Amino acid sequence: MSPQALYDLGRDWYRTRMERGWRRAGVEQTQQMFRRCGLDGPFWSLT
Amino acid sequence: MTEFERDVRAAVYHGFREKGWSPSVAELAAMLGASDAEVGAALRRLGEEHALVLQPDGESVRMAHPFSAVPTDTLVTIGGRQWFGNCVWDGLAIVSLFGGTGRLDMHSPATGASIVFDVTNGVVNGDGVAHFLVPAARFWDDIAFT
Repeated sequence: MSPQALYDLGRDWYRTRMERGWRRAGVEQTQQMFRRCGLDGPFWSLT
Repeated sequence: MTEFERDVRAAVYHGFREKGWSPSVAELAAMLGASDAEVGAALRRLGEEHALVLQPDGESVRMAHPFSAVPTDTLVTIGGRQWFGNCVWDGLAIVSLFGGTGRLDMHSPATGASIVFDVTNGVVNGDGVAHFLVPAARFWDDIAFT
């Protein structure tokens, strides 16, 4: 995975993490985030 | 997560954001007007929920992702301030959380060679390839290893 792709994933993954009202993303939401970064297939499956 | 647990969690992140490290139980208790026991119980609950990662003593914070409360080989520098991340993913994420411009210093786990990523307005400069050893569904089996 390239550093830029990892940066983009980290930006999306942690975007609201410091907020008091942060809520963990659900499985499908997380899966969509992975897919947007090109992370698909069994290795990135959460189910 | 209860409202008090949200307060504790927010106070931990405030500590990382403003000072670069996690407040102690006593500091959190003073900040929140609560007892050490109340804060300790909230931290343990947050650890169980994977909202934070506690030290093995179960009393203090080890990780508030993407921040590490212990020194690591993932050092982030932004405008003269520094934070430790838990891995390259987290290090780059810290840069993004503080505006997208900063520097990440680490070493290759494979060769020990120095690796530097300079990020400017969200654009990463630096060579490297990130490898994930643990499938996503098992990230939390051993989060420190992951």
